[in-house]
Amino acid sequence: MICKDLLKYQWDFVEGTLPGESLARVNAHLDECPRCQSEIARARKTLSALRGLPREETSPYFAAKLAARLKTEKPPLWKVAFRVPMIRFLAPALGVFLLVWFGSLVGTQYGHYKSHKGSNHLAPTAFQPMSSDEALLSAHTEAVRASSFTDAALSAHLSVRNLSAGAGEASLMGRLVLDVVEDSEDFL
Amino acid sequence: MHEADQELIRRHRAGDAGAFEEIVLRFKDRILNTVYRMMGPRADNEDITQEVFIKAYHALADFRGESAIGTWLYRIATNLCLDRLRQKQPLTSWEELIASGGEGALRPEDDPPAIEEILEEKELQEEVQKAIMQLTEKHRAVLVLHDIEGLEFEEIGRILKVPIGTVKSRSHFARSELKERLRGRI
Repeated sequence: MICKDLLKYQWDFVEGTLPGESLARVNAHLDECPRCQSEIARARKTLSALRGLPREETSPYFAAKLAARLKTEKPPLWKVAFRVPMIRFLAPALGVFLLVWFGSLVGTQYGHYKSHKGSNHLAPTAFQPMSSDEALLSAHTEAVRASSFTDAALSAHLSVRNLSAGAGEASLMGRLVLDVVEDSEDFL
Repeated sequence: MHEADQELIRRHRAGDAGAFEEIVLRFKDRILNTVYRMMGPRADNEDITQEVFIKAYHALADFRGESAIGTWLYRIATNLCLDRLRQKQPLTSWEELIASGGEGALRPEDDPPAIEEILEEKELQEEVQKAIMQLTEKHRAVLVLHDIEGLEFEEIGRILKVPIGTVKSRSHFARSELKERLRGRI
């Protein structure tokens, strides 16, 4: 055995848990190595110092202070709720329901967003046929009807429908918009 | 789990307030000692100990009794200390500790200077605690639970949720590290 090996066994040796064969080898090495004897002595002292540390004690008011804190500090609500067996059982189903509900809500909102996007410009939606001016004007009319325009404005736009020959479509920033009708004030 | 532990839990679930009080009285000093050795001398060690019992109180209804109450409390205490140590650097400078006036802070003037032996012993204890604080948290936890609190390696493995081999190797390393840090002192 070399000194390095002894350091590997030092703690088992001082605790008396080293198995027979290893113990004999350590003892044989210690008989002839004063340096390792000193290492073992230091290991013993280290453990003794560690175990001799004074024990801390709580103050006399510990229990009273704890009782006061227990009265004021409540457990988290979710923890309390989960103590009810039925809630614990229904929680996964509730989670799935909320997920589906939220998904459908987002889907609906996105659909509305898509259909109303640019409605101020009376742009056709992606769902409208683009084959003719007539179809486009129908789409505009529907878009206006769905929006919160006043009845007067709606009438004006419905009138545009009748003037489809004069009111063509133009492109603005890649989006189809209704031409500005010069005498639109007549409608309003 | 011991029968006594089972009985305490049964009484607590039946609404007997005295059951939890018994648990507190039985373990409060051991838990405080663990907190103290893990966190070092700080003013809020008793508050942390109270927090351990508050967590235990709220969780006791769900305690399944897979381990002894003591093991379970040590687990709560160790986790709480490790969380705190990760959140905030502990006070490492002894001058800071004195300045903070925290519980257990060094107050050399309190010791009668004539009694040299007592003073020397106290100094050694402080050196040992300083050396403990220099260990990494995971090594410190094993050292405190095994060498100071006297828990078996197997129990510590359950508390820290690591294999027993890991606990033994951490213990070996922590002790050797401590021995080296105290070289020249002992």
